Amino acid sequence: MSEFPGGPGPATAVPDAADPDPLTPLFAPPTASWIPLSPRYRELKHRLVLLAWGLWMVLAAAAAQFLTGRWWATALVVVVFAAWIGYRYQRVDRVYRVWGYAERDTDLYVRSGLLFRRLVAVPYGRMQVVEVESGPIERHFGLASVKLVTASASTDARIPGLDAAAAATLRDRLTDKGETQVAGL
Amino acid sequence: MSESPAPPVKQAQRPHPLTPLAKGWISLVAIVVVFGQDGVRQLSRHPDLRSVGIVAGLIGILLVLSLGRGFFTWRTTRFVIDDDELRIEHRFIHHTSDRIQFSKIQGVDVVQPFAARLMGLAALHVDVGAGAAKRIEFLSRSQSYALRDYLIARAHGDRISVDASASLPQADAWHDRAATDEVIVAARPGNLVLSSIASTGFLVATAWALTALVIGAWRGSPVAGLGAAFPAGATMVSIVSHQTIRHWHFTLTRTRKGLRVAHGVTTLTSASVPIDRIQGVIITQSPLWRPFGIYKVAMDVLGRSFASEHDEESAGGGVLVPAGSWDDVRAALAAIWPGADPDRLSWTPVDRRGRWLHPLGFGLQRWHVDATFAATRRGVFAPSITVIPHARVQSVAIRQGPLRRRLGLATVELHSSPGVVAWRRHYLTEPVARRLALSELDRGRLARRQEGELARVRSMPPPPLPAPAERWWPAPASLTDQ
Repeated sequence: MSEFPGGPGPATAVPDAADPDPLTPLFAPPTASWIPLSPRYRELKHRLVLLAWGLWMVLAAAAAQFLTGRWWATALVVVVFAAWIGYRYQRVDRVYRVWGYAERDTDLYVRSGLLFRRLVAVPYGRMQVVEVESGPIERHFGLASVKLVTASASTDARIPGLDAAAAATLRDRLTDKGETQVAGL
Repeated sequence: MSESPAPPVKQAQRPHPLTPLAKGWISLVAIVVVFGQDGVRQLSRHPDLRSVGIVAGLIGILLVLSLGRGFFTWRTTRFVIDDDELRIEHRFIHHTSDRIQFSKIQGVDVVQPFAARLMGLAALHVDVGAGAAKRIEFLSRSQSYALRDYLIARAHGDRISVDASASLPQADAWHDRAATDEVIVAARPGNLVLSSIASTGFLVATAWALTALVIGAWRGSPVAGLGAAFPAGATMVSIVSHQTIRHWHFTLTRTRKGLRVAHGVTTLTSASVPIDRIQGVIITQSPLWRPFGIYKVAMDVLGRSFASEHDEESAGGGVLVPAGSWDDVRAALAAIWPGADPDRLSWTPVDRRGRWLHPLGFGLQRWHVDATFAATRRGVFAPSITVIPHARVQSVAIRQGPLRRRLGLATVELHSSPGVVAWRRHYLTEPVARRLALSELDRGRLARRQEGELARVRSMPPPPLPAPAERWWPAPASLTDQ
């Protein structure tokens, strides 16, 4: 196992210009910068927001029209939904910017969560399994998720929306590192 | 011991011939428990001979069925425990053949349900770290203990033979303790009863029963009051009996092969405690236990549901001290982790800005980190102390919600295997949280490496390894400056 010449990493991290959303030093990257998810993941999320909430909007508008029969009620529903969809749409961008992961010599770091922020660090030696998952929608966008499983159920270290090839190489890299740094439970 | 027809190669053994009876008795008890209350109520409503006959007939049929099933299961079960292998074969309806490597055995429990104990039988539960324990039901008690000792010796890597292990000292029906064993914690019956009486559930039930009785007497219908008080009374009895029956004769002993926990009055469970798989402990005190100075210590053991069928409340965890004094707590901790002493933890308070989020007992929210352990303490009504060795931390997380962000505070979590122990420290300032979380990874790595070296040194004595040259984790004190 490699040594740590620099000690326990940048404890008080410098806010980094390359980080699109520096947040606070608390969630600063332990390396130079966070590696972002694939831009296609943002696109997928955008489309899902439009599709899912658009469907609800159509249903709600139809219900309003059918139940009240007044055009302004329908228009009100449409406006409210449009505002909500606009909010959800721009929120996708902000959530996307928070997502990021970083690899160091011995640990993997994943940052997530816009309102409830979370930074999880998993030592490679602790990884039991590295799973690559890809559902039909993700596959359509050429995306895959990488999930790190440790002996703890609370670890919950998942990196969604990676490029499928990048996910596979990340998995292989993590597995290799995990094998060389394996630690007993 | 049954003489089974010997297969050409191996001497396969059958469980004890009384097994169907023991199992039939157990299922009879289950039937009575399930249908008993309802049946008695029905019978008391229509107390004629015919319904009694029907109920008795039904129970009889079920009993015959379960006896028959038990018989065929017994007929078709074989096991091999010899110097080469442990194999259990079932060939009743489902055919299974489990062959378990000695080195993969995580623990062997000897479980004696009431009926089995009356017949001098015991079951072996072989824990393989994942899935349900492999069972051999039932063997004679002495054979169970002998095989348990043999299997545990093999699991530790000792190459002894079955015959050699049979000559080890034996235990009796009520205790599983050899003369050489040292008792570390023994639960006093008084403490057990007291701890269950001074529990919240018991007091709620008592209040309910008293209220019902008083209202009944006041309204001039004491019988109705008695009726309303009855369920509460039953609850009270069940709370006390549950705690006392399950933890009766609870002993934590140090044997030649590590720690062992034995407890129970109807079902005597005797389980080895795999010390190197203990992931963390939690010391708790119910609000009403404080005047009596009673504490409980629970632990998480990796991949192990400790006597899970009797212990729903702490799935995945085991009890180290069911109800004991602070000295018991210290003794138990020192037994599993040499050098661990809850009195010697140096507690650091959390940041005062968090008191708005936690008005009651904020000053009790503290944490401690040294080279070996991370501990956290909280609670004014039900205080608890959680201790995790750095070497067992699986991953680390920093969390922050919108409120804490406004106050400049954050939460650090140390993740260990699922169970009762969850290490979480709220209300740290951001720099402290960041430093604590990131340096924890290095502390964990160092602790694991030292542990590995220790194990290696133990397995092959010379030459001694040099001590780690430098410490690159921050000294614990530096974490606390705010």
